[in-house]
Amino acid sequence: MLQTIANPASAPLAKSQADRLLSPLLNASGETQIQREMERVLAGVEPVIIGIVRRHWSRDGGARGAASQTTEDQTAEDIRGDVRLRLTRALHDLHSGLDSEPIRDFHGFAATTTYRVCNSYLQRKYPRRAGLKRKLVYLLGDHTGQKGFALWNGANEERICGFAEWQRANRQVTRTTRYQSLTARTENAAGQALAGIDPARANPGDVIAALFHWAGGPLELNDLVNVLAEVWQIREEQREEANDEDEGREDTLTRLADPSVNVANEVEQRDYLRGLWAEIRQLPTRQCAALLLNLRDAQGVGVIALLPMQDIAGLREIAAAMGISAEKFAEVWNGLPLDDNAIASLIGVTRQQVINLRKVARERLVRRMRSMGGTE
Amino acid sequence: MSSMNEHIPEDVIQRYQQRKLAPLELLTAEDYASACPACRAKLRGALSPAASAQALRMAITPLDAEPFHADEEQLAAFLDGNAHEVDREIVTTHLANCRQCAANLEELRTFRALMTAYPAKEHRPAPPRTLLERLFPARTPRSRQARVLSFGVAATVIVLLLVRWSGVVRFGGASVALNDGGGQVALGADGHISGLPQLTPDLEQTLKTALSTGRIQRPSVLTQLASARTGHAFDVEAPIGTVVESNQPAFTWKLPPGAVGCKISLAALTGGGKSLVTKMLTADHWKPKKALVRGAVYRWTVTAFNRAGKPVAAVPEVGGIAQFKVLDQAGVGRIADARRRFAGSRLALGVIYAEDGLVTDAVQEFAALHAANPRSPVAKSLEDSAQALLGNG
Repeated sequence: MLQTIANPASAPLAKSQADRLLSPLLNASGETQIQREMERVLAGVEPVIIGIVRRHWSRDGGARGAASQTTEDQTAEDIRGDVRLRLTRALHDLHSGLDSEPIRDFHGFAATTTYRVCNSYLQRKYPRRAGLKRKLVYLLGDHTGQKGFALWNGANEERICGFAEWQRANRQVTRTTRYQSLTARTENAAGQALAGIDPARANPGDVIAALFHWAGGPLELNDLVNVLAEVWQIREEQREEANDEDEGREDTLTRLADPSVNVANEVEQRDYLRGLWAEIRQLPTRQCAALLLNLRDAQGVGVIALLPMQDIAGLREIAAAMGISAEKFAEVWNGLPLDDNAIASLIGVTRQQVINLRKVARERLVRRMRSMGGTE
Repeated sequence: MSSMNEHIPEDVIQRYQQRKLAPLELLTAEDYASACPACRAKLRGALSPAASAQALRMAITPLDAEPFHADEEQLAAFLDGNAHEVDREIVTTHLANCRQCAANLEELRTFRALMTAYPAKEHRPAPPRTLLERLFPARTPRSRQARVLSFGVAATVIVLLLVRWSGVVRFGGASVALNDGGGQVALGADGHISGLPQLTPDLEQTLKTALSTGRIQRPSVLTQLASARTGHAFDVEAPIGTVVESNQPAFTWKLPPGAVGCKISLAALTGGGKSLVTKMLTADHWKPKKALVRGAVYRWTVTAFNRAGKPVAAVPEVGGIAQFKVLDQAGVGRIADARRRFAGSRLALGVIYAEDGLVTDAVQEFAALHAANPRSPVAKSLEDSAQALLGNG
């Protein structure tokens, strides 16, 4: 049984605590005014998005020649478009009340979103570089025998890295001449920084320490990745779609098989719903709660009531599957769907954990339900 | 609604559908409905199963749902077993459904193992001043006697620090003592090992040899697995010249410039394993989907292909060999037993792993032992000795 644990950190905040930049939007009414305010908010953070994408994407293209540069420009534009789409969606949810979590710093929110999208593209487009980044985070994060390094967030939410002593002194990135040399003329600068070191054979910790020593201050993590990719000659080749059965990415969010396509009558529709419920019940209680307490259609209307309405599961069964008491579930029933803060408070986890629990619950359900729809 | 023989009043049904019932009323109505088909029909309304199925399907997989992927920190914490309980549940569930993240985790696991080949080290920014300057920051002119006195004090501080940091602490007449598994393991002057209960005579003798010589004996199985690497940019990386515990080991290699993919050829030499050639791989790692045969010795090669699908190079080159053995079933039992008996003892586990030819695991244990005894020459020598076994066969 999950306990109800108050979580002050994730408690809903008043709209007044939201970023002032958002106030006109939150108070706007009418489609035209809302649209105008959204555009105004997005325009306000556009320089943040452009700056981050340029630093993390365009530079890679610069070293790859004109043809490649065009592709990189296109990718940079794709990233910016993706970020704008996500921000628009977040603003829409915020205005419509679908997300009760106010955004206290929309510039920071936009920066974080942009970094996430950049990382996602990095993984897809430059998997070797993404792999190098994972290893660096592991090494710099004090997970190996190489101690004395640290990773921390800079003033603009960027990940920066350096010696742990620098982090304790709250050192920030300073784009000195040497720093600029490392990023703009990497081969030459890295050659100076690593004089006397064979980077292919040396302890990676020593290589990184030598770069930090030479730079004389912390580096942005993405810059360190770029420098080390050059130093260790990690080249991204044109990737073909993997066809080995051990390779390839599972498209886990393939939509559940549509029962209306291959299920002809009412009995089978009910069987489908029973099968769906059986799979939902198999979920760990926290995942089940994160999914069901927030279950809603595109308009934000709760749909969990469909389960009792179709005689698939009663309130007590649903409560048991979520690991909460029937009484507690009955208390929140009229307010369903709950927002993520309320769910977090109810099941004693953080808001972000609620979001992640729901995502992995969906993945698992999709995988399990595929067979019911006959797609495998 | 005073007894189960009555039906749910209309106003309650209306308020149920409007979601206006108090919690207790709601549960009571639910209980009535579950016992009375007529009430249930009224309470539930008339939405068709098809519409309900469609609505639930859309709600569970909304079109704009963004997939979850474990980020660098989540993978690192998961790998090290430090993840919060909830995050561990999230990542575990996700890994079962996402091959990409599962591959990323394996890649990180391999990296962790490779990092154990390097000595543990504390990295610091370059000191702005010398030790003496830091101990005596005042730069005012001093007499020769004062400078000599300062040097003496500093030297004493350094000696005391070295003694404090030393992992070799003499106690109870012991000739070698190491911090290990939360306590101390010592080889006494009388040749007795203390701090490790349940030692078999053979293991005790092996430990005595290791502690007295600082060396790990090369197990005979490694001679059978003699391998050779080129050390060039295009090369096989692991497993090579070792016994592996997993029967689905992770293979890693580096591709040469110009290659876009490769195929792995796995030839079973002894032990009844099957030979195989993979399909084209574009990553720099691979894990067999089907388990390899325990006790079998395998030899493997990597053939690199260019964009036109033509082979451009193969490693190991002619004359080079990359081979390994999958730990046999008896060895799996021995290792499991050792982990139970000597949980936490880097020394005992390192020696046992080395005896079975699990070189990478042995290096990892001795590196950790050295980290726990940073000033012990014995711990350093044992780590060096284990590393000498790594990859050289």
